[in-house]
Amino acid sequence: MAAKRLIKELDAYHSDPSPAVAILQPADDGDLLHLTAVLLGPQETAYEGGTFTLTLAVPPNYPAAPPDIRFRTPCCHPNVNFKTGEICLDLLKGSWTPAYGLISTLEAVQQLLSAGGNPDSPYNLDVARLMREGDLVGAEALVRFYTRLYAWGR
Amino acid sequence: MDGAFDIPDSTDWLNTPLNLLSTLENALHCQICKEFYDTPMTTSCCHTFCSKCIRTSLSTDGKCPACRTADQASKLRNNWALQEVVLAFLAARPAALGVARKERDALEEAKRGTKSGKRKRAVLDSDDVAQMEVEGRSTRRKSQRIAASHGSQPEAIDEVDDSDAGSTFEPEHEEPIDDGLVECPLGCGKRMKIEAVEPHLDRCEDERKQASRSQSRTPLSNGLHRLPNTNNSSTTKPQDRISEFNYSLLNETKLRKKLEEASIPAWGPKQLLIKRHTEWVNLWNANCDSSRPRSKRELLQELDTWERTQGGRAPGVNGLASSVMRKDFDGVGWANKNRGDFAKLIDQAKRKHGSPGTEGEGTGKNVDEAGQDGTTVKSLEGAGDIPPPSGQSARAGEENVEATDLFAPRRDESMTPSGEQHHDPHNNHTRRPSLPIDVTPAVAGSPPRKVPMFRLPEVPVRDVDADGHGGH
Repeated sequence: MAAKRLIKELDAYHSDPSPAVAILQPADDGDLLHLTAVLLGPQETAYEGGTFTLTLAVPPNYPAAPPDIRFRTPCCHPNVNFKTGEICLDLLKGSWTPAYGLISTLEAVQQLLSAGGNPDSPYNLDVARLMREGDLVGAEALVRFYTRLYAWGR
Repeated sequence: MDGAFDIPDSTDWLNTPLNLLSTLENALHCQICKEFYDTPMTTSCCHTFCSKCIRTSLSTDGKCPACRTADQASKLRNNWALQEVVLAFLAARPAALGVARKERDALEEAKRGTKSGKRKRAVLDSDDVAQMEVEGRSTRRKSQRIAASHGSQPEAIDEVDDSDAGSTFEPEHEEPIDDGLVECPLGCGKRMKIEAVEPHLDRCEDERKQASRSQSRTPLSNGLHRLPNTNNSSTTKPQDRISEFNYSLLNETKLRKKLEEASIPAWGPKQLLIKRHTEWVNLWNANCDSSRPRSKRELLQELDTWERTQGGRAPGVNGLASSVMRKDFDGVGWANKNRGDFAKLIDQAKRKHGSPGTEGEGTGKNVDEAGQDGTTVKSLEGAGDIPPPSGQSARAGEENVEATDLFAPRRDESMTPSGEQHHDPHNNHTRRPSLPIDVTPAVAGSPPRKVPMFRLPEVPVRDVDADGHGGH
């Protein structure tokens, strides 16, 4: 069931690509449940111009359970673990529903980047603290710096 | 439907003149499995999904996937109208798609050709369309008109008998399926879906008891054939929905017994038993909803498939499939499973730590200094493997064995989540400016040996992947 639906989703993505997702493909040919995606940094944000690689691990009971999505490219965001790439997004945890797909989830991750996230439940304490203390210029500069450092030039 | 290589997709329509049908087709897809509705069921919040899909989903989190309203499987109701629409659309689809593609090709050709040619071709096309339609009708649905004109009662009965016997559905010669409607064999005059006949019969029969017997049997001789079947099924009740148990009230032995009673596999730990039974309940009930119920044997086969993909025999997973997921990641289970490896690593670390004594200081120093004079020492060493160990070994002024020895404990530290990680951030900070390019390739880089050289962010990611999924 999982594989069948994944094939469907990949097929649909290839014939009708999403503006947010540059690449979505299995990490290797033999295993459909592990995918690699490249997400584009949302326009007019500090992430603009960045291309972020993510890994998606799809559980065998997908879509009953959400995929595990992580940033491979270090991403400076209050709700993204800078070291492990884990993403704190309700969609990927409790409020997942089988009606979502990989593409819509990746788009939600992009939304998370452009919305600035929620600094009150942070994974990245440094940037979350800057945001909480109102230093938005500082936070944005930090994000811009890391985006340029890691996510540019691909 | 199992042809994994020719997947009908709504995007098939996109480049054809009938591209609006893509929206229609999407509307006929279940949101969960993204395929055409199979036995659509409507929730109490009025959303529709395949029976199996919504049952699985409800047993997972008890909420409607579309609006997250709490709901129960027992409140699901069949959506026969939608089922009919899907069947009709599926039947019409190949012919329509053929026409659409032909039209598209013709248009493309016409674009290349001259204007006069275009006009001619357009005329031809409409002829083709007409022809195609005729063909489609005559090959696939000639008989449907007969069925639609209420003339196919005997065939309808045949079909019902088939489904009773649990045989699979054979579309080639079963016209009533195309039509989707069957007249009540007891002759009450109502028309309904074949699968609705069964529940209807019970009701109809009760009513009939008051009425005269001869009247009820008049419609067909086959009706006689039909009746015992109904009685039979209502006594053995193969079509009764089953319910999930309150698993927390059952201990493992009792649950195992229950599974044995249901004649489904009863091995494995309690957690697996629960999962298997839930799956079985969903399969069974979805089958009860279905217009063409399958035999128990087929259901058991499907359960076996589940077992191999998500259950106890799933590849790479000990026990529960969900342990792949981070959410309910079971740390104790993981620790138990990898106890051997951990023990080996700890043992190694202890040995390394214990024998040379001053090693601990040494590594700390090395980390700092490797950043400074790593480049110069590297050329000295020339042992050829990875820069940091070579730097270390050169500093220690020993042979290669010593280098790996120094290196090993640090790997161990990175494996276990501990305070030792603090070393690495320092390392990173000193290196970061000089290595911005190296960092991105680290994503593609592989062996854990290299890890200490790269940025810390990669380390836990690498570990989880490598351990969890048997390596890439």
